[in-house]
Amino acid sequence: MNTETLTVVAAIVSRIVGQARTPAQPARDTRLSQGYLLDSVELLEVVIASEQAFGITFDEQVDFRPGTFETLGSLVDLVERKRAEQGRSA
Amino acid sequence: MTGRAGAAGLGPVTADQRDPELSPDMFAGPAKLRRLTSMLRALPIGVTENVLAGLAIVDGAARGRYRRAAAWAAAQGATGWAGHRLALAVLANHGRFVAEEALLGMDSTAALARDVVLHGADRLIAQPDGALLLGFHLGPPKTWLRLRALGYPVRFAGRLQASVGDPRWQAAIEAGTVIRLPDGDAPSRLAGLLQMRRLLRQGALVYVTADGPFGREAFRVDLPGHPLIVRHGWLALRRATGAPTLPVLTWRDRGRRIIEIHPPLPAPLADAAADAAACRAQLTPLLAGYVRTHPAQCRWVAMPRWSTTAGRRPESAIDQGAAGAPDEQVAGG
Repeated sequence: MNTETLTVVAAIVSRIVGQARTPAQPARDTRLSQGYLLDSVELLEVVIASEQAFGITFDEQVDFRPGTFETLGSLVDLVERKRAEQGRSA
Repeated sequence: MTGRAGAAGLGPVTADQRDPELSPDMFAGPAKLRRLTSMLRALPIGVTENVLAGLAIVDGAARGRYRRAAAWAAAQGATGWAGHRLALAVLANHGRFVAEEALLGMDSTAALARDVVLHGADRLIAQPDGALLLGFHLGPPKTWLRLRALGYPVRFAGRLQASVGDPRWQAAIEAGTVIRLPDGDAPSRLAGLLQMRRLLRQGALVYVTADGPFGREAFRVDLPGHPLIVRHGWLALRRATGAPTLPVLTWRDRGRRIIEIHPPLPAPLADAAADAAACRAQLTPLLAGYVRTHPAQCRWVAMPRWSTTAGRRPESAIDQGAAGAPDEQVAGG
Protein backbone atom coordinates (compact mmCIF):
# COMPACT_ATOMS: atom_id res chain seq x y z
CA MET A 1 0.00 0.00 0.00
CA ASN A 2 1.17 3.47 -0.88
CA THR A 3 1.47 5.43 2.36
CA GLU A 4 1.12 8.65 0.42
CA THR A 5 -2.37 7.56 -0.69
CA LEU A 6 -3.29 6.91 2.92
CA THR A 7 -2.01 10.33 3.92
CA VAL A 8 -3.96 12.09 1.18
CA VAL A 9 -7.18 10.17 1.84
CA ALA A 10 -6.88 10.76 5.58
CA ALA A 11 -6.39 14.47 4.91
CA ILE A 12 -9.48 14.54 2.69
CA VAL A 13 -11.62 12.88 5.33
CA SER A 14 -10.27 15.16 8.03
CA ARG A 15 -10.99 18.26 5.94
CA ILE A 16 -14.57 17.17 5.40
CA VAL A 17 -15.39 16.22 8.98
CA GLY A 18 -13.24 18.84 10.71
CA GLN A 19 -10.57 18.50 13.34
CA ALA A 20 -13.06 17.95 16.16
CA ARG A 21 -14.17 14.65 14.63
CA THR A 22 -10.78 13.50 13.38
CA PRO A 23 -9.37 10.69 15.52
CA ALA A 24 -6.07 11.48 17.23
CA GLN A 25 -4.13 8.88 15.24
CA PRO A 26 -5.98 7.88 12.10
CA ALA A 27 -4.79 4.59 10.68
CA ARG A 28 -5.83 2.00 8.11
CA ASP A 29 -8.21 0.37 10.56
CA THR A 30 -9.93 3.62 11.64
CA ARG A 31 -13.62 3.10 10.96
CA LEU A 32 -15.22 5.78 8.81
CA SER A 33 -18.74 5.71 10.21
CA GLN A 34 -17.77 5.18 13.82
CA GLY A 35 -14.28 6.72 14.07
CA TYR A 36 -14.92 9.82 12.00
CA LEU A 37 -18.71 9.74 12.43
CA LEU A 38 -19.15 10.22 8.71
CA ASP A 39 -22.71 10.37 7.47
CA SER A 40 -23.66 9.35 3.93
CA VAL A 41 -23.45 12.84 2.48
CA GLU A 42 -20.00 13.31 3.97
CA LEU A 43 -19.02 9.98 2.45
CA LEU A 44 -20.25 11.34 -0.87
CA GLU A 45 -18.05 14.38 -0.39
CA VAL A 46 -15.09 12.12 0.41
CA VAL A 47 -15.71 10.14 -2.78
CA ILE A 48 -15.92 13.30 -4.88
CA ALA A 49 -12.81 14.83 -3.30
CA SER A 50 -10.91 11.57 -3.83
CA GLU A 51 -11.89 11.56 -7.49
CA GLN A 52 -10.59 15.09 -7.86
CA ALA A 53 -7.40 14.48 -5.87
CA PHE A 54 -6.41 11.31 -7.70
CA GLY A 55 -7.90 11.97 -11.14
CA ILE A 56 -10.12 8.90 -11.00
CA THR A 57 -13.82 8.28 -11.55
CA PHE A 58 -15.83 5.80 -9.52
CA ASP A 59 -18.73 3.81 -10.88
CA GLU A 60 -21.05 2.96 -8.02
CA GLN A 61 -22.48 0.07 -9.98
CA VAL A 62 -19.08 -1.64 -10.21
CA ASP A 63 -16.66 -0.28 -7.66
CA PHE A 64 -18.52 -0.31 -4.40
CA ARG A 65 -18.64 -3.61 -2.60
CA PRO A 66 -19.69 -4.45 0.95
CA GLY A 67 -17.02 -3.13 3.25
CA THR A 68 -15.57 -0.60 0.81
CA PHE A 69 -16.34 2.25 3.18
CA GLU A 70 -15.79 0.42 6.40
CA THR A 71 -12.35 1.78 7.24
CA LEU A 72 -9.83 4.31 6.03
CA GLY A 73 -7.78 1.38 4.74
CA SER A 74 -10.61 -0.12 2.69
CA LEU A 75 -11.20 3.27 1.07
CA VAL A 76 -7.49 3.62 0.33
CA ASP A 77 -7.52 0.15 -1.25
CA LEU A 78 -10.37 1.23 -3.51
CA VAL A 79 -8.53 4.37 -4.56
CA GLU A 80 -5.38 2.44 -5.37
CA ARG A 81 -7.32 -0.19 -7.27
CA LYS A 82 -9.00 2.50 -9.32
CA ARG A 83 -5.75 4.30 -10.02
CA ALA A 84 -4.23 1.06 -11.22
CA GLU A 85 -7.22 0.30 -13.46
CA GLN A 86 -7.34 3.73 -14.99
CA GLY A 87 -3.58 3.82 -15.33
CA ARG A 88 -3.71 0.58 -17.33
CA SER A 89 -6.48 1.85 -19.57
CA ALA A 90 -4.88 5.27 -20.15
CA MET B 1 -54.54 25.30 -17.18
CA THR B 2 -54.00 21.59 -16.74
CA GLY B 3 -50.42 20.65 -17.51
CA ARG B 4 -49.86 18.02 -20.13
CA ALA B 5 -46.45 16.88 -21.25
CA GLY B 6 -46.77 17.21 -24.97
CA ALA B 7 -43.54 19.10 -25.23
CA ALA B 8 -40.48 17.98 -27.13
CA GLY B 9 -39.16 14.64 -25.84
CA LEU B 10 -42.20 13.89 -23.69
CA GLY B 11 -45.10 11.78 -24.84
CA PRO B 12 -48.70 12.86 -24.60
CA VAL B 13 -50.75 11.39 -21.78
CA THR B 14 -53.58 9.17 -22.89
CA ALA B 15 -56.61 8.30 -20.84
CA ASP B 16 -55.47 4.76 -20.12
CA GLN B 17 -51.77 5.43 -19.87
CA ARG B 18 -49.98 3.45 -17.21
CA ASP B 19 -46.57 4.14 -15.81
CA PRO B 20 -44.44 1.23 -17.09
CA GLU B 21 -42.83 0.70 -13.72
CA LEU B 22 -45.23 2.02 -11.12
CA SER B 23 -48.89 1.48 -10.40
CA PRO B 24 -50.93 3.00 -7.59
CA ASP B 25 -51.47 -0.29 -5.81
CA MET B 26 -47.73 -0.49 -5.09
CA PHE B 27 -48.07 2.38 -2.62
CA ALA B 28 -49.34 1.22 0.74
CA GLY B 29 -49.02 4.37 2.83
CA PRO B 30 -47.57 4.58 6.31
CA ALA B 31 -46.76 1.17 7.77
CA LYS B 32 -48.78 1.71 10.91
CA LEU B 33 -51.91 2.39 8.86
CA ARG B 34 -51.61 -0.25 6.16
CA ARG B 35 -54.37 -2.44 7.51
CA LEU B 36 -56.70 0.55 7.59
CA THR B 37 -55.73 1.85 4.15
CA SER B 38 -56.07 -1.60 2.60
CA MET B 39 -59.63 -1.79 3.95
CA LEU B 40 -60.45 1.65 2.55
CA ARG B 41 -58.89 1.09 -0.85
CA ALA B 42 -62.08 -0.09 -2.51
CA LEU B 43 -64.11 2.95 -1.48
CA PRO B 44 -64.52 6.14 -3.51
CA ILE B 45 -61.80 8.66 -2.75
CA GLY B 46 -64.20 11.25 -1.37
CA VAL B 47 -65.39 8.76 1.24
CA THR B 48 -61.92 7.55 2.22
CA GLU B 49 -60.57 11.07 2.57
CA ASN B 50 -63.43 12.10 4.82
CA VAL B 51 -63.05 8.96 6.91
CA LEU B 52 -59.35 9.55 7.35
CA ALA B 53 -59.85 13.26 8.00
CA GLY B 54 -62.30 12.45 10.77
CA LEU B 55 -60.06 9.76 12.22
CA ALA B 56 -57.10 12.14 12.17
CA ILE B 57 -59.06 14.72 14.15
CA VAL B 58 -60.17 12.16 16.74
CA ASP B 59 -56.72 10.63 16.93
CA GLY B 60 -55.14 14.06 17.16
CA ALA B 61 -57.39 15.06 20.02
CA ALA B 62 -56.63 11.83 21.87
CA ARG B 63 -52.88 12.13 21.43
CA GLY B 64 -52.58 15.81 22.26
CA ARG B 65 -51.91 16.89 18.70
CA TYR B 66 -54.85 19.27 18.77
CA ARG B 67 -53.06 21.33 21.42
CA ARG B 68 -49.91 21.44 19.30
CA ALA B 69 -51.90 22.36 16.21
CA ALA B 70 -53.74 25.07 18.14
CA ALA B 71 -50.46 26.49 19.44
CA TRP B 72 -49.11 26.57 15.93
CA ALA B 73 -52.32 28.18 14.66
CA ALA B 74 -51.92 30.88 17.28
CA ALA B 75 -48.37 31.45 16.06
CA GLN B 76 -49.87 32.12 12.61
CA GLY B 77 -52.04 34.81 14.15
CA ALA B 78 -55.22 32.71 14.17
CA THR B 79 -56.91 33.01 17.55
CA GLY B 80 -60.35 32.23 18.98
CA TRP B 81 -62.62 30.40 16.57
CA ALA B 82 -60.25 31.04 13.68
CA GLY B 83 -57.50 29.28 15.58
CA HIS B 84 -59.80 26.39 16.42
CA ARG B 85 -60.78 26.01 12.76
CA LEU B 86 -57.19 26.16 11.56
CA ALA B 87 -56.04 23.58 14.11
CA LEU B 88 -58.82 21.21 13.08
CA ALA B 89 -58.09 21.82 9.41
CA VAL B 90 -54.43 20.92 9.93
CA LEU B 91 -55.43 17.64 11.59
CA ALA B 92 -58.07 16.87 8.96
CA ASN B 93 -55.67 17.51 6.12
CA HIS B 94 -53.21 15.17 7.76
CA GLY B 95 -55.80 12.45 7.35
CA ARG B 96 -56.48 13.42 3.75
CA PHE B 97 -52.77 13.39 2.99
CA VAL B 98 -52.52 9.87 4.43
CA ALA B 99 -55.06 8.90 1.76
CA GLU B 100 -52.86 10.52 -0.87
CA GLU B 101 -49.77 8.82 0.50
CA ALA B 102 -51.47 5.46 -0.05
CA LEU B 103 -52.98 6.62 -3.37
CA LEU B 104 -56.43 5.59 -2.22
CA GLY B 105 -59.05 5.96 -4.92
CA MET B 106 -56.44 5.85 -7.68
CA ASP B 107 -56.92 2.87 -9.93
CA SER B 108 -54.44 3.85 -12.62
CA THR B 109 -51.58 6.18 -13.37
CA ALA B 110 -53.95 8.22 -15.51
CA ALA B 111 -56.04 8.86 -12.42
CA LEU B 112 -53.02 10.54 -10.88
CA ALA B 113 -53.00 13.08 -13.71
CA ARG B 114 -56.66 13.99 -13.33
CA ASP B 115 -57.33 17.34 -11.72
CA VAL B 116 -53.67 18.26 -11.58
CA VAL B 117 -52.88 21.83 -12.53
CA LEU B 118 -49.22 22.44 -13.26
CA HIS B 119 -47.74 25.92 -13.20
CA GLY B 120 -44.24 26.54 -14.46
CA ALA B 121 -44.13 23.58 -16.82
CA ASP B 122 -41.97 25.69 -19.12
CA ARG B 123 -39.30 25.68 -16.41
CA LEU B 124 -39.23 21.88 -16.45
CA ILE B 125 -39.04 21.73 -20.22
CA ALA B 126 -36.22 24.30 -20.14
CA GLN B 127 -33.96 21.79 -18.35
CA PRO B 128 -32.97 19.40 -21.16
CA ASP B 129 -29.78 18.49 -19.30
CA GLY B 130 -31.56 17.48 -16.14
CA ALA B 131 -32.32 19.12 -12.83
CA LEU B 132 -32.94 18.57 -9.17
CA LEU B 133 -36.59 19.09 -8.33
CA LEU B 134 -36.68 20.22 -4.74
CA GLY B 135 -39.77 19.30 -2.80
CA PHE B 136 -40.75 20.00 0.80
CA HIS B 137 -42.95 18.44 3.44
CA LEU B 138 -45.59 21.04 2.67
CA GLY B 139 -48.97 20.14 1.24
CA PRO B 140 -50.01 16.76 -0.08
CA PRO B 141 -47.45 14.06 -0.88
CA LYS B 142 -46.39 12.20 -4.01
CA THR B 143 -45.80 15.28 -6.14
CA TRP B 144 -43.15 13.44 -8.11
CA LEU B 145 -45.63 10.72 -9.03
CA ARG B 146 -48.15 13.29 -10.22
CA LEU B 147 -45.49 14.82 -12.45
CA ARG B 148 -44.72 11.37 -13.88
CA ALA B 149 -48.41 10.85 -14.53
CA LEU B 150 -48.39 14.07 -16.54
CA GLY B 151 -45.62 12.60 -18.67
CA TYR B 152 -42.50 14.11 -17.14
CA PRO B 153 -39.84 11.43 -16.59
CA VAL B 154 -39.20 12.39 -12.99
CA ARG B 155 -37.18 10.03 -10.82
CA PHE B 156 -37.67 9.95 -7.09
CA ALA B 157 -35.03 9.58 -4.38
CA GLY B 158 -36.21 8.70 -0.91
CA ARG B 159 -36.64 6.12 1.75
CA LEU B 160 -39.41 4.31 -0.13
CA GLN B 161 -40.53 2.09 2.69
CA ALA B 162 -43.27 0.72 0.44
CA SER B 163 -40.63 -0.92 -1.74
CA VAL B 164 -38.98 -2.92 1.04
CA GLY B 165 -39.63 -6.61 0.47
CA ASP B 166 -42.01 -5.94 -2.41
CA PRO B 167 -40.71 -7.47 -5.66
CA ARG B 168 -43.01 -5.30 -7.75
CA TRP B 169 -40.60 -2.43 -7.17
CA GLN B 170 -37.63 -4.23 -8.67
CA ALA B 171 -38.21 -2.98 -12.21
CA ALA B 172 -38.53 0.61 -11.05
CA ILE B 173 -35.38 0.36 -8.93
CA GLU B 174 -33.35 -1.27 -11.70
CA ALA B 175 -34.51 1.34 -14.20
CA GLY B 176 -33.51 4.11 -11.82
CA THR B 177 -37.07 5.43 -11.75
CA VAL B 178 -36.80 5.38 -7.98
CA ILE B 179 -33.61 5.60 -5.98
CA ARG B 180 -33.72 4.06 -2.55
CA LEU B 181 -32.03 5.87 0.28
CA PRO B 182 -32.58 3.28 2.95
CA ASP B 183 -32.58 3.60 6.68
CA GLY B 184 -29.39 2.30 8.13
CA ASP B 185 -25.71 3.04 7.97
CA ALA B 186 -24.02 5.63 5.83
CA PRO B 187 -22.51 3.27 3.22
CA SER B 188 -25.98 1.85 2.49
CA ARG B 189 -27.23 5.30 1.63
CA LEU B 190 -24.11 6.34 -0.26
CA ALA B 191 -24.94 4.04 -3.18
CA GLY B 192 -28.23 5.87 -3.64
CA LEU B 193 -26.56 9.27 -3.51
CA LEU B 194 -24.02 8.22 -6.11
CA GLN B 195 -26.78 6.90 -8.31
CA MET B 196 -28.48 10.29 -8.05
CA ARG B 197 -25.21 11.94 -9.06
CA ARG B 198 -24.88 9.68 -12.08
CA LEU B 199 -28.48 10.25 -13.16
CA LEU B 200 -28.18 14.02 -12.82
CA ARG B 201 -25.01 13.94 -14.91
CA GLN B 202 -26.92 11.93 -17.50
CA GLY B 203 -29.58 14.62 -17.68
CA ALA B 204 -32.34 13.18 -15.52
CA LEU B 205 -34.97 15.04 -13.53
CA VAL B 206 -34.54 13.86 -9.95
CA TYR B 207 -37.04 14.77 -7.26
CA VAL B 208 -35.90 14.89 -3.67
CA THR B 209 -37.21 16.59 -0.56
CA ALA B 210 -35.05 19.21 1.07
CA ASP B 211 -36.38 18.88 4.60
CA GLY B 212 -37.56 16.11 6.86
CA PRO B 213 -36.15 13.83 9.50
CA PHE B 214 -32.89 12.65 8.01
CA GLY B 215 -29.53 14.27 7.55
CA ARG B 216 -27.36 16.95 8.97
CA GLU B 217 -28.97 20.36 9.08
CA ALA B 218 -27.75 22.71 6.36
CA PHE B 219 -29.83 25.67 7.45
CA ARG B 220 -33.25 26.44 8.80
CA VAL B 221 -35.99 28.63 7.46
CA ASP B 222 -37.51 30.52 10.35
CA LEU B 223 -41.29 30.38 10.20
CA PRO B 224 -43.91 31.35 12.78
CA GLY B 225 -44.31 28.44 15.18
CA HIS B 226 -41.62 26.05 14.01
CA PRO B 227 -38.67 26.34 11.66
CA LEU B 228 -38.38 24.25 8.54
CA ILE B 229 -35.13 22.31 8.75
CA VAL B 230 -33.32 21.97 5.44
CA ARG B 231 -30.86 19.07 5.25
CA HIS B 232 -27.57 19.05 3.42
CA GLY B 233 -27.81 16.14 0.99
CA TRP B 234 -29.33 17.92 -1.99
CA LEU B 235 -26.88 20.80 -1.54
CA ALA B 236 -23.94 18.40 -1.84
CA LEU B 237 -25.45 16.89 -4.98
CA ARG B 238 -26.07 20.20 -6.67
CA ARG B 239 -22.49 21.29 -5.98
CA ALA B 240 -21.18 17.94 -7.22
CA THR B 241 -23.15 18.02 -10.47
CA GLY B 242 -23.92 21.66 -11.18
CA ALA B 243 -27.51 20.58 -11.69
CA PRO B 244 -30.11 23.37 -11.75
CA THR B 245 -32.31 23.17 -8.68
CA LEU B 246 -35.99 24.00 -9.08
CA PRO B 247 -38.14 24.38 -5.96
CA VAL B 248 -41.50 22.62 -6.30
CA LEU B 249 -44.49 23.54 -4.17
CA THR B 250 -47.89 21.90 -4.12
CA TRP B 251 -51.28 22.32 -2.50
CA ARG B 252 -54.89 21.27 -2.82
CA ASP B 253 -57.45 23.77 -3.99
CA ARG B 254 -61.12 22.83 -4.22
CA GLY B 255 -60.52 19.29 -5.43
CA ARG B 256 -57.62 20.19 -7.68
CA ARG B 257 -53.99 19.36 -7.08
CA ILE B 258 -51.84 22.39 -7.85
CA ILE B 259 -48.15 21.92 -8.55
CA GLU B 260 -45.92 24.94 -9.02
CA ILE B 261 -42.41 24.74 -10.46
CA HIS B 262 -40.43 27.78 -9.35
CA PRO B 263 -37.47 29.48 -10.99
CA PRO B 264 -34.12 27.79 -10.38
CA LEU B 265 -32.10 28.57 -7.30
CA PRO B 266 -28.83 30.42 -7.96
CA ALA B 267 -26.14 28.42 -9.75
CA PRO B 268 -24.16 26.29 -7.26
CA LEU B 269 -21.18 27.90 -5.57
CA ALA B 270 -18.07 25.91 -4.78
CA ASP B 271 -18.06 27.07 -1.17
CA ALA B 272 -20.63 25.05 0.72
CA ALA B 273 -21.52 27.73 3.24
CA ALA B 274 -21.94 30.41 0.60
CA ASP B 275 -24.03 28.08 -1.54
CA ALA B 276 -26.31 27.23 1.37
CA ALA B 277 -26.71 30.92 2.20
CA ALA B 278 -27.65 31.75 -1.38
CA CYS B 279 -30.24 28.97 -1.46
CA ARG B 280 -31.63 30.00 1.91
CA ALA B 281 -32.04 33.57 0.75
CA GLN B 282 -34.20 32.50 -2.19
CA LEU B 283 -36.13 29.78 -0.38
CA THR B 284 -37.10 31.75 2.73
CA PRO B 285 -39.66 34.10 1.16
CA LEU B 286 -41.00 31.27 -0.98
CA LEU B 287 -41.64 28.96 1.96
CA ALA B 288 -42.84 31.72 4.25
CA GLY B 289 -45.31 32.75 1.58
CA TYR B 290 -46.56 29.19 1.23
CA VAL B 291 -47.18 28.82 4.97
CA ARG B 292 -48.94 32.17 5.06
CA THR B 293 -51.20 31.22 2.13
CA HIS B 294 -51.85 27.53 2.91
CA PRO B 295 -51.42 27.12 6.67
CA ALA B 296 -53.90 24.26 6.90
CA GLN B 297 -51.73 22.17 4.59
CA CYS B 298 -48.58 22.48 6.70
CA ARG B 299 -48.96 19.49 9.00
CA TRP B 300 -45.24 18.64 9.11
CA VAL B 301 -44.26 22.21 9.94
CA ALA B 302 -47.06 22.60 12.48
CA MET B 303 -46.32 19.32 14.25
CA PRO B 304 -42.91 18.03 13.17
CA ARG B 305 -42.11 14.48 14.20
CA TRP B 306 -38.41 15.12 14.04
CA SER B 307 -36.20 17.31 16.11
CA THR B 308 -36.03 20.97 15.26
CA THR B 309 -33.44 21.62 17.93
CA ALA B 310 -30.38 23.30 16.49
CA GLY B 311 -27.14 21.34 16.39
CA ARG B 312 -28.54 17.80 16.59
CA ARG B 313 -26.46 15.11 14.86
CA PRO B 314 -28.17 13.17 12.07
CA GLU B 315 -28.34 10.06 14.25
CA SER B 316 -30.27 12.04 16.83
CA ALA B 317 -32.70 13.25 14.23
CA ILE B 318 -33.38 9.69 13.21
CA ASP B 319 -33.85 8.68 16.84
CA GLN B 320 -36.48 11.37 17.22
CA GLY B 321 -38.98 9.12 15.56
CA ALA B 322 -39.07 9.38 11.83
CA ALA B 323 -41.47 6.44 11.94
CA GLY B 324 -44.74 7.68 10.59
CA ALA B 325 -43.15 10.50 8.64
CA PRO B 326 -43.98 10.63 4.96
CA ASP B 327 -42.05 8.27 2.76
CA GLU B 328 -40.43 11.09 0.93
CA GLN B 329 -37.36 12.21 2.70
CA VAL B 330 -34.30 14.27 2.21
CA ALA B 331 -31.19 12.80 0.66
CA GLY B 332 -28.72 12.91 3.47
CA GLY B 333 -27.58 11.44 6.75
